[in-house]
Amino acid sequence: MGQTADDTNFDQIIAQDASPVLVDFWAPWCKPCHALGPILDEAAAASPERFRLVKVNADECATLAKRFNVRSLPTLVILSAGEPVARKIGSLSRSALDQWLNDSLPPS
Amino acid sequence: MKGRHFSDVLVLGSGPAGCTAAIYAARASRSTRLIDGGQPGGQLTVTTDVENYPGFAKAVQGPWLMEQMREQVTSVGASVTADEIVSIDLSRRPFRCVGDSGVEYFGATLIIATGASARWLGLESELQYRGFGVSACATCDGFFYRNKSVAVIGGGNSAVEEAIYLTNHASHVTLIHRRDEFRAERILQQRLFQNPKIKVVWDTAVETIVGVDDPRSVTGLDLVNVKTGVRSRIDIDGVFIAIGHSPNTSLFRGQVATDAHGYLVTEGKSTATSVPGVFAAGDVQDSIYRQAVTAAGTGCMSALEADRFLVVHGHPVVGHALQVAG
Repeated sequence: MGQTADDTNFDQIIAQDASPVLVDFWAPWCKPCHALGPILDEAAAASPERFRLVKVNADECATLAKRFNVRSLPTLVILSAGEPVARKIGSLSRSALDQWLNDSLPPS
Repeated sequence: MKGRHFSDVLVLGSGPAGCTAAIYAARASRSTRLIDGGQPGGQLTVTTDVENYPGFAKAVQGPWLMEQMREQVTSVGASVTADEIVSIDLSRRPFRCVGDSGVEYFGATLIIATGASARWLGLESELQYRGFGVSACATCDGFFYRNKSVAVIGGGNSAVEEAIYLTNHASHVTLIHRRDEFRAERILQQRLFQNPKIKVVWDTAVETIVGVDDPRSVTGLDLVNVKTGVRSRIDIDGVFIAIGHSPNTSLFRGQVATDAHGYLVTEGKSTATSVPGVFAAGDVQDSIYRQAVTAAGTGCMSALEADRFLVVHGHPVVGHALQVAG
């Protein structure tokens, strides 16, 4: 189901290991976020060796939302070595997500 | 092969049209499967107050209404599947639809209720700043504009509702419309004009969305008055596009007849499309009314017509549902 991070523990969670991180910025009131959530869970469960899924509730994490310049929900950000390397706005189908991950994840 | 499912009535879309179709089809004792599509619950899931859907004396929330409809679909015995159809074959019955998951869904009849999607202006600058100040979902993104200044583009119900909603967050809302009157319901217009946070700019189109990089964000709009040609710039922190919707029919192009604007064409007072056994309900076939209640109405019609089609084409109702006592 991925990990949940907030303003206080985000950097610690990101630094846990060297694998790329897919950050899901969502909020409880955002229905497209609810549609995307299970799709992300499935994709993360299907290839745990490729990336870690970290979920951030933007409603409670203003500092992180500002740090990553999140202005729209859902926003997905891929971090490699802690740095953002790709970003996707809006809900996605599973195959569109897989395509984007293939294009954007750093080669392992 | 990732699995195959057969049903008497296959419904694509989970807004009011698709849900109502599935409810009526299931209650006609037809095996019914609803594929919920890319926006589960449809357009009402990104709205707030719904005040014109009959049966509720007080305003209900759009997302709540759609949760209720979805529960009603399952409680009457239809299956709801989270998937999005990516290809279809309507050349023979049963009709074949392949999901994003790879699963194949077959329907002896097919009800298309795939709805409509928000349109964009089509500007390069809009694409550049999408997600960085350009949004099509006020209920998703309004929160980021607390005490900031935003613009809404459009003149229909969506635009006026979004402008009113955004006053909950933003300090100022500028509603920009290319005509000199709104299409929105008059009660919404009254609320809009009475709201001191909202300013309306008439007869005006957006030429460019202006912004900066690092961090990438919108700072303003370059506008042009369509009557006088006079150009101007306004400073804003975000812009919400609400200029209407386009029917979600690209999947059916070449297989089901559409009109010049891409809406599925239905026959006379029915929901029958150009393909016998394929019916269309809701915004995907409605360029005029586009209301939740008209979508539900045509959803009901489509299920009754699908059931009739199955009777005429020798699909008696089977199973346990119609056992007669004695």
